[in-house]
Amino acid sequence: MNQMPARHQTPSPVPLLIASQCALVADQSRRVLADGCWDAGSPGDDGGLPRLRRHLWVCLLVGFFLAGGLWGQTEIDRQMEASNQDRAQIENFAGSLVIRGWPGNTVRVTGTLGRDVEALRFERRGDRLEIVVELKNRKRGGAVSSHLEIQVPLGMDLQVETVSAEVTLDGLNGSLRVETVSGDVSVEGAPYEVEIETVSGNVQVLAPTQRLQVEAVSGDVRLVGVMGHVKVATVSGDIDIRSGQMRGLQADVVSGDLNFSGAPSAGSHLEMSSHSGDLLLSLPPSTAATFEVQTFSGDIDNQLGPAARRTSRYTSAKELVFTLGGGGAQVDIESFSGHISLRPRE
Amino acid sequence: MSRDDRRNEGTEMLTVDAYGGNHGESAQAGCSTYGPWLDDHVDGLLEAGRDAELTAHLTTCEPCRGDVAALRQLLRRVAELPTIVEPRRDLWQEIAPRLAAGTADSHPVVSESVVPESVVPETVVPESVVPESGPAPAVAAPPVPSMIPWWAQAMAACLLIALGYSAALVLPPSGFVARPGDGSASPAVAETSAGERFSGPDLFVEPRALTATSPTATSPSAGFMLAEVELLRAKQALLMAFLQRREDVSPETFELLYRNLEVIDQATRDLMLALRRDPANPRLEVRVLDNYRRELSLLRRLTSRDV
Repeated sequence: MNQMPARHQTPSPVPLLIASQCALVADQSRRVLADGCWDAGSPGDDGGLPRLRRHLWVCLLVGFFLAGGLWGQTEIDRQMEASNQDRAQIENFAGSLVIRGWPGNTVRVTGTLGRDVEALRFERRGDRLEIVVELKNRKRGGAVSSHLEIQVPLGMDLQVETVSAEVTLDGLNGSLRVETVSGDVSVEGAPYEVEIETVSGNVQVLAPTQRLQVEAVSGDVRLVGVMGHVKVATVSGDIDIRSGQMRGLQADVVSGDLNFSGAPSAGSHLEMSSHSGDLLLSLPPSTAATFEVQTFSGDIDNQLGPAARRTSRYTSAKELVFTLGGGGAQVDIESFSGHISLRPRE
Repeated sequence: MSRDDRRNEGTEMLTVDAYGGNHGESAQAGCSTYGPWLDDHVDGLLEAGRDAELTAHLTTCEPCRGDVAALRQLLRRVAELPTIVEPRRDLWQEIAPRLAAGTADSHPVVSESVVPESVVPETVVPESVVPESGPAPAVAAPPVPSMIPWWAQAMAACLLIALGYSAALVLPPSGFVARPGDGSASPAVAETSAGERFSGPDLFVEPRALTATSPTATSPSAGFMLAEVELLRAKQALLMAFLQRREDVSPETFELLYRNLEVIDQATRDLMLALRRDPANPRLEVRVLDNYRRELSLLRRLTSRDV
């Protein structure tokens, strides 16, 4: 396998920064002189000079912090032959990961590693490629943010793990599995199946997946144009689902809100449930589905059909069953105390 | 993180007011000085000079004496925590169909695909401890591992107390008494609910007996209660495993997770209260168990990876 390591230390940015700051100071000096600051004060007052000194100090401080921030970063540009039959495991603690599919038979990794990163492990084990940002120690703190852009064969299966690094996946059509703690996740393209787990990171999927599973805790989830079978759950995060021709949906929130906007496709079975979060369905006039709606102590506001009825003399439980457009899809909605609204889509 | 830092975090989280309470105005200054020493004093770790000074203070300060007594009581309760008994790995595979037997008439059963593959991480439960078949051993109570800091144990204790309260809401006040042949659980199961024994395959009665959610039922189904007991135990195991990893978790993430676990717990309490009013409602049972599964799934994830 042709591996072409091309890791090299970035030429120290410090001289460049100092040079640029010197140029700024020189420019400021010219301006000060051109503005006639030397003459601004009263005779004997050297008001222009302190101003110049201030500029100089500001520039030096800015240059110092910039140089300190960039110093020690390592630029990466490595590649390895691979195919759609391979799979990749990609790990980055913090920073960002942008992974794009391309038609080539090569995996290419570019970007920068943080100062306190030990190394980028980029190796093959059987049919698995491992692209792992290895830290000097696992304790938090230090400059561990690494920003990587990775190009992979578009059919490759990926497993991505980060802690706080943001993940962007684009132009891939294999199976994708992403785990993060606080990093946001964005998926576009046409992946066959996607599985995402996050704690507080937000998730956005704009892709006609065949199978999609998202689990979040407090992160919000936004799904647009998803297809196939979808399972999504949060605790306090909100869920927003727009359009898409899903064959099955299981959406579950505890205290977060759930918004669904779109037409259930014929033969599909959509299930949405919440504990205390509100459920809002915005449906187009073409909707053809049977709805079974239940709440234990919440309200049901139906602007598409009959009103809900109470099911018990002793509790405030309500139930609503009705059909639109002759049926065809099955939509089950349930809440404990959350408010349920069904409205026409504007 | 220093011991004091950990103590402060732990006490905030637990709302255990060990030394910042409403002591008298005159004692306030002294208490604020000696307060941070109390847990070291209780643990026997306070430096001798300070210990003597604190002991002298305790002879004159009733509130601080009360705090010390409260700390000691808390530690005693932690030490008395029930044994961590891990569920069998395919727990839900058995629970779901049995629960379905009692709920199929009115509610679609939760699909198996939603269920976590295992409710207990490899690191917590050695496979050998959880046999595939045959009764699981009645596990003798091992001491709580000493590697768990006391404040973590205290947190677990508080959560368990809250869980116990939740369970108390749904379990009959006199305990779950088995009545063989009447659709209730077997005596062995009753023992389980009392926490004395814990059996594997024998945990569940015949599926037919679990159809306790008849129109005349006045309490949650036996299947539900048994499932709840086992899920609570699984949760306890995972919670302890997670707390062991407290040091590896960023404070922000820990707080966020704690709050969201509380959100789920609150939802469970809501459901328990509703179940008390409407004990034959199988949907409520399913939702309660869904909540436990949600918590287990979350805890399992958190104990098996970097957070």
